[in-house]
Amino acid sequence: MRTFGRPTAAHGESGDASGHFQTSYPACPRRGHTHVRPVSDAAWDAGDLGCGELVLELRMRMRKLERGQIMHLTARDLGAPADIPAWCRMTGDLLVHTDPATHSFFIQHT
Amino acid sequence: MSGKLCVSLTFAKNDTDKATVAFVVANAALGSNQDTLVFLSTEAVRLGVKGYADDIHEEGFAPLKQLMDNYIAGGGKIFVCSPCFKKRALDESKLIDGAQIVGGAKLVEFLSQGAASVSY
Repeated sequence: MRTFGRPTAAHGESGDASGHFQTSYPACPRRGHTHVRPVSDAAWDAGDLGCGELVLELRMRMRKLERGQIMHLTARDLGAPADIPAWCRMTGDLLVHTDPATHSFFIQHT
Repeated sequence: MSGKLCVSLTFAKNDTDKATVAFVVANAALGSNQDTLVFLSTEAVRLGVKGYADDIHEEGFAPLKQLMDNYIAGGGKIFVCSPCFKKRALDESKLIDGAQIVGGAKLVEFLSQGAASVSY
């Protein structure tokens, strides 16, 4: 079984003993997004990985989540802000929150 | 828009004929009321940088910059391949207006919605 790395506090997050991280962020104006940074069940820092490599690995990792669980993806590739929403629209997983400042995407498995 | 057309272009100054004709066809698609996307990959990503296309003028055609400007002004989309752009160490702050750096998922989404495609 693959294990996911615990989210780091590198981007100003604060954690609790359960390993969950939750921080309030400014309201996101996009429809379907939560205004508050959600609790994540898994985290993956994809670094500079992009394009096909990013979404194929993301797909494999998302399939290991239970329905309703949330992945905190960090992706710094220039194409990720366009690709991740498109990938979610195609796969049906939900992009529930984004934080451009930290290149973060919170994706709920459906 | 009555349909979708993707014009895939992989050439820039290494084949200005193909680069020019790709945008001629894209303008024809746009003028025919098609939801039109020009996908720039490999060498063609250089066309996504401001100033690069300014001196490309293939005989028998309008200057490429004019074709591209008309295309953008008409509502045409330009996707620029992210890994191709990164590989060439190009400057995203100099991206032409109307262009968007994307990875494969964004292109696949457009194609999966029933788009036809032509490649240059």
